[in-house]
Order: sequence, then structure tokens, then C-alpha cells
Amino acid sequence: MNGDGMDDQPTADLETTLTAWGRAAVRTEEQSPRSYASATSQVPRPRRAILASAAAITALASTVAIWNSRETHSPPPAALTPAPCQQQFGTGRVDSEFQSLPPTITVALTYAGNGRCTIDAHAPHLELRDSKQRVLLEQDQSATYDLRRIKSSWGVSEPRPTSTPSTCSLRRRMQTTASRYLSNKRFPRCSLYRAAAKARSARYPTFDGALELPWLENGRPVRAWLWIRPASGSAVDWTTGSQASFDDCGADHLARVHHSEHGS
Amino acid sequence: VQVTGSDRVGRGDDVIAAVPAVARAFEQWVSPYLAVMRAVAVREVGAADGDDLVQDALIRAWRRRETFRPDRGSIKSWLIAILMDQARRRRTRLRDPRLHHVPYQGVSGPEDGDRLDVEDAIRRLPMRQRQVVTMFYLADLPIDEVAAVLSLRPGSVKAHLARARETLRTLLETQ
Repeated sequence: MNGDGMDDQPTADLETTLTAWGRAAVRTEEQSPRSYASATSQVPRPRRAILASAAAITALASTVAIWNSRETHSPPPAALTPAPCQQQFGTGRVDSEFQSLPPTITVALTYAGNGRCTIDAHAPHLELRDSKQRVLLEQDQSATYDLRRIKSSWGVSEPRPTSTPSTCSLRRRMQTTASRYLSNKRFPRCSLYRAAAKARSARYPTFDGALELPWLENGRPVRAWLWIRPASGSAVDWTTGSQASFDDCGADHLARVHHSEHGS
Repeated sequence: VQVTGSDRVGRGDDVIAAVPAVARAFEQWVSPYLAVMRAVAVREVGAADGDDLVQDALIRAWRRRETFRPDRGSIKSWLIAILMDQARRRRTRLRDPRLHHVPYQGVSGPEDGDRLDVEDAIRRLPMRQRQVVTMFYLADLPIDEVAAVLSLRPGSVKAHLARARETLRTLLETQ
């Protein structure tokens, strides 16, 4: 162990026991690999990407690109429906299998082929609720209303409509909260993405983007993105793809969703 | 996708590909300590929030990576200091009394019986003693780095450690 001189020297047995405990505890963690950092090497290469800024080049933030969903996912051929998407989730309602991660989205589902589901959320109502059914995001509500709802749910200070500090404070709180969607132990962690997200969102609040949420398809985690464009505030699109595992949480996008929702 | 003109500096794989090197360097830098960070984290805030705590700590480490000074301590102690600071912030922010008690239940498995006894005994220690034991035996930090991580004087660390050992000795003998 450390070998520092102690005022009271522990007995050899106790020292051995505690040393073994410490080593076993670390060994247990080593044997249950997590990808806090390794997600950086698994960023999917988009067909078309736009970097945020010159500063972002030096930041990890820029490893996560903004995707153009309309280019990435073609409209689903009508001939392929009905589809496993509906069979899996049921038409018009998507419930996560995770009690702690229950995005409930009222949308239409179509099958895009190759195991992909397109979830059309252009419908006016879209909301994300947490495990206690508290509304986190409401697409069809104004930003001010959203803030108050979340304030009442999460006990943050009353945001003044024109106050940037309050908005920022709330945004940070929401990021923490919403990031819990991505923090289920079933999924790898994406801390670096989160770091990048926070760093980037602080600098570039006008960015649009997407929110990636946990998803299960046939019991297997897949990727799912929620796209929100701040210009219109209404162009929202869900896409899922049964590609690989849920290795990149995409929390980079998460921050921009909040910006979009708040009209920052 | 709409991007403000001043923000747009490039697009395409050629630029994207140049970026991850920075991330990979950081990843390689912290990777050897992720296991110990999580082992400490779950004992600070519980298994459910341990991953979040590690993430928060890594975020901070990423942002503050320029501030690391190797002459002032090891990477491990720097990372764990950040982790412990984040744990403290979390406790303060949430003001959740449950977080002051460590709900970590250890691992399951018949071969882990002895370890669970130790885990349980350590969990019963007062918070500061438990932290010192964790830093010293689990994180394997020397006394001066334990002191730096916990913002204590080395003498206080030794005192906490001595009291913790005494308590643990009693607890383990009675189990």
C-alpha cells in the first residue's frame, strides 16, 4: 500500500484486509467496462457535417456533427409498411421500455426499411416526461410556459422572461435533468460528449440540433434522435436505426434542444 | 440545418477527421483512472449516481485539463480531487440527506462475502473517515495526496485513518 508512516500502525491483518478490499473494488470496476471516454472513437461519420466554429475544432464538441436528417434518412417507401416499427411500438405512441427513461411521444411510425423506423413527430403534440410523469419538454408550448412548468416541477428559481442568467441557470438544470435520460446504466456514458455539449452550447446558443434518447428495438438498444430546429420551432423528426449499440449518447445535441426550446 | 455564418468554418470529413486526436489524447490520459474513479464515486453517491458523478468529474477535467500541474500531484489524485469536489457539489445542490449515506451495496456473489463485510463496515464509518479510508486504500493515494484531495492537513488524515482503523477493527471482529 502507500507506505506512509502512521501514528498508529494497523495490524497486519487489518491492513491486508483493507488493501484487498481496495484492490478488489477497483478490479470489479475494471471488469465492468464502461465507455465514459471511449465513445469519442465511435462517433458515426455523417454524410454531411457542419462544424460549429474554429474554436470547436480544438474542442471535442466538434467531433459530434450536426446531421441533416432529411438527407440522412430518406422517406420510407410506402410499400414496406406495415412494419416492425408499429409492431414493436404500436402506432401513434412510443413508450420506452425503461421506466426511468420513458419518452412518450405521440407520433406516427413508418418503416424505412433495413430495420429502420421513421417516427414522424410533425404532429403538434410532443412531450418528454420523466419517470414521475413530469413534463420535461413540450413542443407545442411556448418557451415561457415551458419554463414555468419546469420550474414548478423541478423547483428552480422563477425565470424572468428577459433574464439571461435565469435562463442559463434553468438550462443548466434542465441539462442535468435531461441528461439522466442518457444515464441509465444500460448505456455507456458519454461524458466527453456532455462536456462538449455544455462547452459548445454556452458559446453557440443559436444552434439547432437533435436530442438522442435511449431506445430499444427488439430488446436491443439503438440510436434515436429528436431533431428540433429553432428557426421554425416545429420541425421535429424522430429517426431510429438499429445500428450498433448505443455508444454515443449524443448529449451534444441535448444542449441544443434546450436552446431551441427556450428560444435562446 | 441552419448555422450562423460566422460560426461556420468548414464541413466534411476532412475537417472532422482532424478533431478526434484531441479527444483521444484526453481519453488515453484519463482511461487508466476510470475504474478507480467509479469505485470511489459509487461509494460517495451510491451506485445509481456513480456514473453521473464520474461523468461530471470528467467534464470538469476536460475543461480544466490545462490547469493540471504534475509537480503538484499525480493525475489520479487530480482526477479524484475533481470527483470529490463534484460529489460535494452534488450533495450541496440536491440537499438530499440520502446522499450523505452511501447506499452502495457492494457486489454480489458467494466469493465476495468477506469483501461485503468490509464494505459494510466501511460504510458505517463517519463520512470523513470513510473518505479517508477510500482515498488511502481504494484509490491508493499517499497521505499527502489524500490530504490534498480532501482539503485536510496530513496530520488530520492520519488521525482520521487511525480512528477509522480502530472502528473497523472492532466492527470486523464482531461480525
